Amino acid sequence: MSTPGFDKLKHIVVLMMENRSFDHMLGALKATDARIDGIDGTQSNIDTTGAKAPAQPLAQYQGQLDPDPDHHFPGVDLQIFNGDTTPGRAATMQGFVKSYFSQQRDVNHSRKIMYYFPPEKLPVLTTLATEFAVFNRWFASIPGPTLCNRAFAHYGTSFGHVGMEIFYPNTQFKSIYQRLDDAKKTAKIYYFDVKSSSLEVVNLLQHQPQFFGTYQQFLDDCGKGELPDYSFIEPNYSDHEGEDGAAILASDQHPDHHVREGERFIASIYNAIRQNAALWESTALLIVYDEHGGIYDHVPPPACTPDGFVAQPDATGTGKPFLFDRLGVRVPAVLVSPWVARGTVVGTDRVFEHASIPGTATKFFLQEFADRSPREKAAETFLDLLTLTTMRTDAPEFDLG
Amino acid sequence: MRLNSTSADLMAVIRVPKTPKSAYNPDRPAGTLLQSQLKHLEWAVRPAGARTAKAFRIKPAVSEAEAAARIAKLNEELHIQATSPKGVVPPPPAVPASSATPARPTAKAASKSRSKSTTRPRAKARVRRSARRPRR
Repeated sequence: MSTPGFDKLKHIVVLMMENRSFDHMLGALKATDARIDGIDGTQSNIDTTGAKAPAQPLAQYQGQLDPDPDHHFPGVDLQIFNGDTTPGRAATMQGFVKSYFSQQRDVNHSRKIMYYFPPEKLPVLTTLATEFAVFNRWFASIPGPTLCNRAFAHYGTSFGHVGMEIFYPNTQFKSIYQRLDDAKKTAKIYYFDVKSSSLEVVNLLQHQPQFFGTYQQFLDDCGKGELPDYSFIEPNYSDHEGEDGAAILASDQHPDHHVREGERFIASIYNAIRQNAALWESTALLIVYDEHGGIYDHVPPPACTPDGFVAQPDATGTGKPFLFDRLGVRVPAVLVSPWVARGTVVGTDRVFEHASIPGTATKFFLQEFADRSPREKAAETFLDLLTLTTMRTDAPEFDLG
Repeated sequence: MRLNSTSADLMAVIRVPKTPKSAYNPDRPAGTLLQSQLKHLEWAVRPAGARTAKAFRIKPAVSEAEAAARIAKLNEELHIQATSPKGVVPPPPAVPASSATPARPTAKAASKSRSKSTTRPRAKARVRRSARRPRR
């Protein structure tokens, strides 16, 4: 592939947020762009009283999804299949309210799992989605929680794990960072600060600290034009005091952290790239969420290339093994670059998952790399979306005040 | 305030309001994610021989602030180990792919919510938002 944008490309930046579904964050955009596979008013679940619980634009920034909706393997299985365990079961996406009800046994509260944000409440994410490229079919890699899904973004597999357990002893495939480093390319994971640190690649944290930086270092690197070839950014995972005693808010958008702080974090990453002209024209920024966090989405996860691993019934918690042959729930994903056409909507015929991240980075920086997971080898890549022959000059701006 | 625009034409500036100070709650109970992160970091900081399941029970963090403080300490230890030849912990022996068996069921953990609202008073501190403007 050779387009001006592709030829100019030097940097890939990935920002992975936490625990929100596509419909919850971007589903409302269907009202203004029918190409976006979001909420059209027909989506609902049935609550435990038998009443219809419709998807409604009533999502709040904080305080609504407490307790944290279940997003571990058995809970997600219930959300997708509504308790059907028969061999030929269909993914109906009808078990979200039932799943949330089981946590607090409050019917009214359980219906809130269907709520989604109107676009005006998420000015950053919805603006970037409509100004650049939004993916109609980006799914979590596993119908399960954070760490196994994030492993796919780093390794192209979770090495047979469907939960939060430690997986490092079985990493027979190299991480994208190791692959790039071996090829004399530069790669870095920017965690927010030392009190937030990195979530899931602590084996690298120990043995190869050159792969890590902080959010402040990312801002500095952008300003100095010293961004690595490949960057992965982690938001702040907790409310805590900084070294100077100042209160620092979590920016990961994981329930029940304030969603607007995540909006501001996304905008700050975008601004940092956008402000440096040389960086802006040579960088592709992917904003994606690790998994749906137990929140409603209407698109059934599709089958996928088996991963070659098997999670045993005692690990899945469903009484059945999992062959890694089906994706998790759909999540928001947006690709930002001045070489992406305004209003690009990636169609439903192209299915992406987190293995698409190392898959794309490998394809671009290394071209070929044989020793990868079957899932990564089969994953869609996304740099073909840099289609423009002339760089755009109409990028939006965010004022963080 | 506008960015230091270079080649890009100016569009309408989109203002992103500040997050209310009331959102800050370091006393919020630490959820599954932070507890798991602590466990992963504890695993990494230990010598390979101490990474057995029996020896690997850690005290859960009560609050997000406590988790953050412990994470910072573990993070620092890892950096010391990594930068000091004497402190480097050897990587664990590789396990064949065929024996990659996931851990015991997490159903119990799955049923637990990540956090519940705390009724404790929120810490009084000046709120510094993470989403700062980049330096010029």
